[in-house]
Amino acid sequence: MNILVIGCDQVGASLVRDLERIGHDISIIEKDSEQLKRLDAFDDYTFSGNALVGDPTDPDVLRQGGIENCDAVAAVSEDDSLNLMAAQIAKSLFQREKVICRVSDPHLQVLYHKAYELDTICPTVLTEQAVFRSLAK
Amino acid sequence: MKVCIAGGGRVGRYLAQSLLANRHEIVIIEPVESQCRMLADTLDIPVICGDSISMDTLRTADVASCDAFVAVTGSDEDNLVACQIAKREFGVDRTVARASNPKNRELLHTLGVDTVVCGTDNLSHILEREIETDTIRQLLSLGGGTASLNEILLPENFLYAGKAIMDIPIPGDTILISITRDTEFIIPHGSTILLPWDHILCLTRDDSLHELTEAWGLSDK
Repeated sequence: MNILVIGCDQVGASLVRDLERIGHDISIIEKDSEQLKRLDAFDDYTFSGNALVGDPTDPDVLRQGGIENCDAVAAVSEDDSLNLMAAQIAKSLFQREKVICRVSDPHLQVLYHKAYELDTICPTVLTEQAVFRSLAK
Repeated sequence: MKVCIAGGGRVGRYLAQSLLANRHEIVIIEPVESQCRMLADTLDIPVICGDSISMDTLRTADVASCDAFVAVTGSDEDNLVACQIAKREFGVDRTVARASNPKNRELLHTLGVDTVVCGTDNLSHILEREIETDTIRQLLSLGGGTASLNEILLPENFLYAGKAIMDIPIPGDTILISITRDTEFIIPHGSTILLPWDHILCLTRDDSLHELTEAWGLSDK
């Protein structure tokens, strides 16, 4: 699959690594060029995809990142509103069907899942559940 | 009318002041505590200290009771999300967002914000008009700042002086409405001839106005 990843913090960089390892073609867009250095910081892996510095909420930048030809988009930066805006652009402007969006605020996650039908993942909820499960057993 | 303003920077503060002067009820949401204190001291209105994309903050500000929600923070993404929350979660009828990036004007509207105001855009349009030439005067801004009614004074050395309108390039969305020649008032047709010192009233989209200025050689003086 061609996958467009938005945001290259620890989540984005690890996601890119794992997806490339299993054979996907990755394009990544990140606002801050410093953050892209994470891709070169892994010991046992070399990034071979396409990395782009730019504003992921700008449709022209998304186009440069290959959004028109990608099979899936993952908006996983640390910024909730940036992810939500980029994900909505991917869905409504570029008609991408598979769009995953990281939303740290659990309230926002529920709202955007329900009202905007976005595929949202909430690290706050996931962490809480993991800790709860490990304590409750 | 009750209005919630998200973002208590310069834009938010001036907006609050002018709305207050028109007797609207205002509540401001601002994340920086010192700024909140300043706003509360100078404006004497409720100021909620918090993040405008947090539902708890919006609930504290009682956004559900507002008739309009205006997001004017410096982040276009935050403005979008705040307006979407206000609309979907709190049922606010009228949402307005400020877009710093002119590209986002249409985009935010497509994504559900009722009105998008682009400060940079409007300002640069105004500046552009002021700078461009003093032969063009904007009389009225229309279509949310995308079009305007203008008066053009044809210069002494007008490129198409003595030519009929049908033989003159009129680019894009432009309508020539009337011509005032000394005391004569003319409703123009294709065969109407343009002369130096004619005052032309025309309706244009902003990009067309620029093209018209170019095509008629009004920009280089």
